[in-house]
Amino acid sequence: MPLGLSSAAGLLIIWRIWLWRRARGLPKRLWLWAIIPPLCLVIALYYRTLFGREAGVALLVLLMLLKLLEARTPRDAIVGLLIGFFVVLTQFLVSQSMLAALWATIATGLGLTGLLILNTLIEDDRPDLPPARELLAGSGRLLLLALPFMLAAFLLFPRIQGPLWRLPADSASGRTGLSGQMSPGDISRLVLSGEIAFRVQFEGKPPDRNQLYWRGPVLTLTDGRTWLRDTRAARASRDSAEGIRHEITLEPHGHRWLLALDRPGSAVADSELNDNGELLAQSPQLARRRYVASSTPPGRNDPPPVAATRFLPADVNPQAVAFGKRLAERHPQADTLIPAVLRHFSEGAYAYTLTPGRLGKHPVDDFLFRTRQGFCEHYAAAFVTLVRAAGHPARVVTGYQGGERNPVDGYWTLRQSDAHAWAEVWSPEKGWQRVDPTAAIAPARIESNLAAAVPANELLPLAARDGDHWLRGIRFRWEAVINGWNQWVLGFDPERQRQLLKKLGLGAPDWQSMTVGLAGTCAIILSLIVAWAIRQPRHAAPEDRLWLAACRQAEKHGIVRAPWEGPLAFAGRVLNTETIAPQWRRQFQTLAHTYAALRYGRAASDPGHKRRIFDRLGRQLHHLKHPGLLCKHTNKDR
Amino acid sequence: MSRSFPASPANHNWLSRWQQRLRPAPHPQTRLGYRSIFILPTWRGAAWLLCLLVMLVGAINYNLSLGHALVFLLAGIGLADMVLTFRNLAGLELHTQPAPFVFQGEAALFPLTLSSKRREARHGLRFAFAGQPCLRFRLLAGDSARVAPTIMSEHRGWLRPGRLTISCRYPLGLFVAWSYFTPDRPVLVIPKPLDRPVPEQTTGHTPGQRPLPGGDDFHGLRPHQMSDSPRHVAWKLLARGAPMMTKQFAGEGGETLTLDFMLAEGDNETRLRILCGWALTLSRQDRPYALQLPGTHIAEGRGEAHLARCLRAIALHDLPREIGHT
Repeated sequence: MPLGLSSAAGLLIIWRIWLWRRARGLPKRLWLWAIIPPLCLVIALYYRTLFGREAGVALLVLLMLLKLLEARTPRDAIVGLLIGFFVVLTQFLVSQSMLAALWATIATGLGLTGLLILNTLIEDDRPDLPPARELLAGSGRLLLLALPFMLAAFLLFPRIQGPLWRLPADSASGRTGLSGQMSPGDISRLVLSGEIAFRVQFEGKPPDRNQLYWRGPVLTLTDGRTWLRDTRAARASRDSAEGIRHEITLEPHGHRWLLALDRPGSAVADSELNDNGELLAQSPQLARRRYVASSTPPGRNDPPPVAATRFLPADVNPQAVAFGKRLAERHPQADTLIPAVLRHFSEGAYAYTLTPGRLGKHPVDDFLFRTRQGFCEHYAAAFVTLVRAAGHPARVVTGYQGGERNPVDGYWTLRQSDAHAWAEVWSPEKGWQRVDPTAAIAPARIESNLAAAVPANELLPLAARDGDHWLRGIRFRWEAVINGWNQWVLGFDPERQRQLLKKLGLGAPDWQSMTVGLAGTCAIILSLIVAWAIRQPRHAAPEDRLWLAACRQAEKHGIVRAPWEGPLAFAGRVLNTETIAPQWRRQFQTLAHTYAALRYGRAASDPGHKRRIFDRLGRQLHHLKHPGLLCKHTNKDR
Repeated sequence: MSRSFPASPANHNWLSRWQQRLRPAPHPQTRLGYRSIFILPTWRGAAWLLCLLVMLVGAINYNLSLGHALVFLLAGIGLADMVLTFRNLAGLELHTQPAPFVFQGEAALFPLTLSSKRREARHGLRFAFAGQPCLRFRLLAGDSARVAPTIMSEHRGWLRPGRLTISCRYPLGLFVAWSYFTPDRPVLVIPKPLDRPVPEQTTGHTPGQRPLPGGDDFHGLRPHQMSDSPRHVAWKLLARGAPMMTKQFAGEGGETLTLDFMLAEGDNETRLRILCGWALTLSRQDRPYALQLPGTHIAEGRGEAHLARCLRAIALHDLPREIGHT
């Protein structure tokens, strides 16, 4: 929400509290109605629409605050509270982390307590409220009773994949990640962020680390400095679902491409595979998303490359172009050319660093012959330039390399610090082959991770470093928890629901049987709760319970206590009944006297004394129930 | 040992069972059990449901899993409220209590004693007879209390209470639970007294007596008897240490005043009202009187019980015989 709106909201709240404290009257309704149009205008201007997601949220918050100012009776305030629950929902549009869930639970509890207070004010005849403890206990009880229903519905309510209708696109507010273009320095800046790019789970055995290349946008067009995507790439003609299957949970990055292991063999739901090997979705990825991809090594069936893959701008990087041509004379075939270029890098005293120097008008020349230090984007760009100058089609591929396996849950985590750029070269026999110049310069980067490759004095995000073991262990556990939250709570889409139900042994039900199952479960929970609710409460006083138990024993002997008969009177009646054994009658009278002393006598005030008499009462009742034991213990109870 | 609560009818006809639930027969007491409590959503409950549906659509549309959880939690709260509203009434015991008579045009009270064995308080209980103002009450934990819902009296005679509706909308007001109870004690409605001067002349005569003016002349003392009115006890004497004595007045044992239906003027109802006024005046002055109505004669007497008998005779004069408690 814009700062102005937040501060206006804060001011409104403060004003309302001030009015309440001073017991002043509320502003007239007319004023409040008059404020609405200008505020709507402000919101519309800021968000450029009145119907988008964020504009809607701002409107809702405003509505709630105005209702707060306008509410005169508890009934009005209840309407404001209902709007408040809506606002809690909208908070989830921003974040659904565990912290957000906690906040929402607290807010719901507070709103519930408020509703309880308002309803008590409406319903009770007195203006005073019950004590706060009782109110909080009341709302706590409501929440507790609601929990089983929530869990049942969360698991069994048939999930529908949204969106149900197309909404106007909201701004993809600044996210980090690959941008679809590469200039010298881009990736080395991106690598400084430790944010998670995506998580992977492999179906079978994961490949070796030096095969873990994750394909992102493919950059073909260049002006010598910046590399761009070729958006005219045609749809791939060949699709195969074989290969290494893996499930990717992609964090939103605001662009259309989907990441997958190099090279994705087939399209996933609502996306297309194109000739560049990119997976493109229909719309920009604005929400976390999970999909399964399968990857195969590139094969011979790649279509012939387009002209752009050979193109180099005429008057940029002349030295590099000349060098490339020289290399081509010595190594006309791609098979020998590629190792030659790589040898040039590995033997040419090149350095791998996050902070290369500034490059001038001919960045590749400066890198190759002057500075000789750079990051993966420099190497990739230089390599492709040289290969294109030598006359072979080549392109830059950006994406991620490596990844960190979390031993707790087995998920691989890819962060922005794993971002990488490499190259691909085309040959008629082998099609597009992957060539990674960084592997020649800094093989540690490929074999382990970035922290192993760059000099120790370069600053890396905490997550990318090899830290202490115990710190890492904590981090792994925490990330496993967050990942579990993402996968099972937030990512509980229809697919996950089917998986869960299958795991529980319920087969693969359709939505009708799920609804019936949900209704049945709710009915069972409801009947359990109702049975609890209408149970007869026991007498509060434990000694009364004992007395009633003794009276039930007397009933068994055929003598029933009238409701108005006190213990002594009843005991007298029992004593006079001839049909019962005399010893039992005497025992009953003793018990009745004990009970009377406990309940009505002076002993009732002293807790220690009371405890002793209570124990005695218990023993006497026990003897009453089991007359056979009477002889042994009679002496104790005098 | 068990109290006499209304037993379930032995009818096998479910229709008559339902009728028994909807219009229970008069009974001195009842305990609201789960079979006799009805529950339905209120308008607020409907609004709650509507909010939930809109929120659910929003959560589905934006794939908010936590949004789903919030909607389900609020739905669970609604269901929990249903159970708790039901529970607020279940187990409540009502006992009818005797009620004093009222005058025509006043609100007749039907006192009830509420008791609850539960440890939690019952808030927001509402008692109302059909078409009558609603009485709200909060019963505290383990407490027993008296409430007295009212019916506006219009005619004289026995006012039988109709069906009492006991309802509540606590804790959240999303549901309303109600139950019915028909108390069995009617209240006597006395015609509103008209203030007219008491006729000193009497038509009847008691031999050996002559009328004396006024009844306030002090006549003497006699030893106190249990039935003497405390107004006539010589307190000052008692304070000085003498035994308890009753003052005697001249009117005592003197003239017999008979309130005669024919002596009053006006139509029948007005006459009855005048008779009431006389009886109340004389009772206040503690003078004996007799009552003469067509078809009813009440011998002379004084005191509260005599007044009650007279008023009842006046109130029930010439009304069709009512079934009810005396």
